[in-house]
Amino acid sequence: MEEFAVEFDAWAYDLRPRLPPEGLPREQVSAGRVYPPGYIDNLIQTARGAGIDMKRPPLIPNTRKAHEATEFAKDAGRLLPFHRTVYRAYWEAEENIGEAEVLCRLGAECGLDAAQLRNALTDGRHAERVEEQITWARSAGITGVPTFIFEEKFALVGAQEYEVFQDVARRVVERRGEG
Amino acid sequence: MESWVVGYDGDADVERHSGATEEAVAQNPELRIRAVSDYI
Repeated sequence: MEEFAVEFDAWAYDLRPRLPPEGLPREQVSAGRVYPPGYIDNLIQTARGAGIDMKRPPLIPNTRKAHEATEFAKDAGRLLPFHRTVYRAYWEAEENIGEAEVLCRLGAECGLDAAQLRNALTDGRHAERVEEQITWARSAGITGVPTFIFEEKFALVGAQEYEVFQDVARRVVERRGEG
Repeated sequence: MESWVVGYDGDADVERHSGATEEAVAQNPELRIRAVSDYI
């Protein structure tokens, strides 16, 4: 944000906990779901306005490994670029971000050591951390993503206008010291 | 000798010693934001 120095962190959420490791076709996951007329088109238009060429990827992948890779990127000081790259890879390029090889290639594009990332995904060294984050989100009552937590005190849910973030940020800073 | 002279690092140390730096940080410290999200 322009007027605040922001310390950004990303925590995992498991939006579809029953997905198999290989993921599932979108049409299967969405079977029976009815969207209001124009809902998807509006979503795509809104994304386009934010510079995102949003598609509807045919596969809904299991994201556990993507979250583990995110933790790896965090430890390597490359959280933001990796986080953004994975989102773009899925929603714009329709890549299978459930595959370790895809994640390693994306990681390399962000300056990560692909071989080390592959080892980390294979031995699952970040799996427990990801599980803890998902457990915390559930216990905190988070049901929608993205949810933005400001200084452990305020939650902002969903894609919001920049001005909303500004307003919340100002309020949070103003209330510092109030306990 | 004043303790801040040890490891003296120019004007930044003078500011730090005088409290100017702490004051600036206290006025506008980093805002911690955690995004809880899934990629799908």
